[in-house]
Amino acid sequence: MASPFSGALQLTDLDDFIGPSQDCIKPVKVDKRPGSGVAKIHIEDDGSYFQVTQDGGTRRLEKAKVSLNDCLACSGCVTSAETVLITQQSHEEFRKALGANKTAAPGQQKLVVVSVSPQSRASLAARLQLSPTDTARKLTSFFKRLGVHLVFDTAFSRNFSLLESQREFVRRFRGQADSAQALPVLASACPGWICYAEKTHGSFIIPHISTARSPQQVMGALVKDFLAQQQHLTPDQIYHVTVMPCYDKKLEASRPDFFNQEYQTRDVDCVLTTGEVFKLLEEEGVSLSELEPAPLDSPPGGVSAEEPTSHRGGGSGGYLEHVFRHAAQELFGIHVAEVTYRPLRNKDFQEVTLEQEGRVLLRFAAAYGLRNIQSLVQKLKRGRCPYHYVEVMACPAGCLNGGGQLKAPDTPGRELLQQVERLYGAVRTEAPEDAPGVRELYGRWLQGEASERAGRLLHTRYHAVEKTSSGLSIRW
Amino acid sequence: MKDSLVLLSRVPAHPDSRCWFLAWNPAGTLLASCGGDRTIRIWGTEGDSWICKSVLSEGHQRTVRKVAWSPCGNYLASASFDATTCIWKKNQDDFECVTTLEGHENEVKSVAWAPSGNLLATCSRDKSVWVWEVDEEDEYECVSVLNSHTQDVKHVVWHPSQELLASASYDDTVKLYREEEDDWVCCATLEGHESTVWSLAFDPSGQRLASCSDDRTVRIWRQYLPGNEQGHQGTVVSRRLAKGEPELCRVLHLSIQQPQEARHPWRTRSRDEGPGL
Repeated sequence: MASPFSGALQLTDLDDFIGPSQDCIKPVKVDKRPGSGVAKIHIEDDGSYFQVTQDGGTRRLEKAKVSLNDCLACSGCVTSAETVLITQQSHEEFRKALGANKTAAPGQQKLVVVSVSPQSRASLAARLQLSPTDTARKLTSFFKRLGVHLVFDTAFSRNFSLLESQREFVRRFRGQADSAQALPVLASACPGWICYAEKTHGSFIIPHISTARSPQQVMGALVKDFLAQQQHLTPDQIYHVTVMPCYDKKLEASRPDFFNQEYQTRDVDCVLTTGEVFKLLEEEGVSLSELEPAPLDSPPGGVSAEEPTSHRGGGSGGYLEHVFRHAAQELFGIHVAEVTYRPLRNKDFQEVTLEQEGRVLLRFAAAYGLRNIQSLVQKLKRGRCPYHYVEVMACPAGCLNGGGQLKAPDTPGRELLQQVERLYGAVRTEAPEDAPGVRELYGRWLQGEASERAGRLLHTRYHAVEKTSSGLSIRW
Repeated sequence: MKDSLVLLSRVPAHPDSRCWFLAWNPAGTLLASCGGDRTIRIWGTEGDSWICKSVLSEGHQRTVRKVAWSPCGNYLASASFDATTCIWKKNQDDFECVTTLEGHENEVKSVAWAPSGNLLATCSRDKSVWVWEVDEEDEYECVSVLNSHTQDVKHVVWHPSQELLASASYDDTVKLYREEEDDWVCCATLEGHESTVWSLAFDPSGQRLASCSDDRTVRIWRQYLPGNEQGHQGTVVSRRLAKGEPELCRVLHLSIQQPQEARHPWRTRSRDEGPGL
């Protein structure tokens, strides 16, 4: 089966030949039973293992299993068997959690929150021929019918990702004389790119990556920290689900950096792809277009709106656009009304420059897809990278074309993508600093823009993965 | 016998290790060998004997699996298990490593130059095929990463006259790629082999592609364009050769030579004529 993960992730993480004893480092807890020590192990024809003790008694041995959560949380490897688990189980996991919640005692019930990404919404809108507003409202209605309490839009948390990215770039640009690794700044919202960077280029490239959290993980912080406090709950009393355009986001949610040790809970408990939500709709026998639209919930700390809002700069979040315009204003006092993108070697590699009197003040790029990431990294390694900032995405054409988006059997890929792009752009945009509630949250929740809390809750860290080259694993 | 091969010389090429591959340069004057000792050796004649003219030893950290000469004969590409491909430039009798192509996650199994000399393809155990472009300043840039195969890719080869790339894999298939708009795509998958496809070769006219496999067969493939007279659906049909003899060794590598008027040992046979190669 073709892997649903991005090309970048496939190259680094998937390995079909992993012998569990060699590469799986997950310790498995086995209950020790009282009894005499020595026993033999006998294998039946059907492959099951029986322990035969000295007195002749037999006991069937349990297979050592690694749970899906344990597997996802460990970044040692991702076997293709696991990818099957990851791709097939999540919406069942969601169902199970909802089911458990229904039957739980009042004190044990969790608050179920679903955060939908604008890209997933656009994909569903295209498939079901609905407007973005209708899709958002009907999705809210659908989830609430299943037992979800609150439905949010990650475009709200994206405001923070964009603002932090803007501030970080200006700071690093100003400090470039002091640090050789200050520039270029590489965007960090794409987990496929992050996993690839950590595993393939490690400590060389990590200093360049922006530390701003992705919208998914900012929403994780908003829900499990701010919303929890507001609702007088502890973080583990909230079950947070996100709906994303790709599978790589599932791995992002399982990163140890996004795990709350104190309450033993993840900032994002479950990630569903657009496809999984669609399957959920089918399995529930629900036709989204026929559902009564429900009013949109106000985001944590925000205000309720009649319709969803978005950001300029394309379907992958608009990082280049926002950082560029902000930098032009802050660093050079130049107001840029329209950003002009110039495609270079292919349509997934575009350049943007800020010039004044023939001098280039800023040179930014957007590099999507593995071949362009590869090119970029090679240039960096040779000290020949001319860019100050690069919006890096693992998927060609960006997030709207993620591996978890809906495919239409009778519409060619390109046409479908154009429809999705159109519907994504049919939403009113606003500047992140103007989004209602954002400034207030910086005050109430984070206690300041450059505060310690802001640093902890809106930023993250990356870890170079050292390759283990054990002699046992060489294959010709 | 008229058509027998006569041994001219025997040389110990890569001491204490395996010699993995040999390649003649386009002019036919030099032979490049590579091996498990991580070196590449260039051989030439001096009078009647073959001598080692040059040893390229600083390029790789692990076995060098394959070497390929560029069509102009001035460059040599070496693919290694250390996951890199080195490009060597010939300067009279010396070779200098001008660049190292990185990016594959693990062992690079094969490298091949396109007939134009502007493109290079590499393939690896990481299941991907990469296409690289070289510009006038000897800068190599990755132009495409193709993840079509589901297993280790063993061999890549270019069509002799078109920019068409073929790859053979442990997933039992052969895949063909061409450039469409601004990216390379897999335009055909040849199924039929029942085990790893180890090697491929186009005939000089480019009309037929031979593949050999761990299933102990050699298959010859031919392209049928849409609307062909024979009424074949799809683009390619294969004719299977030489199946059945358990003593037939595993076919690991193929090379199709120039067809000549005289009887030629590599003449392709059909099933009706019985086991051949």
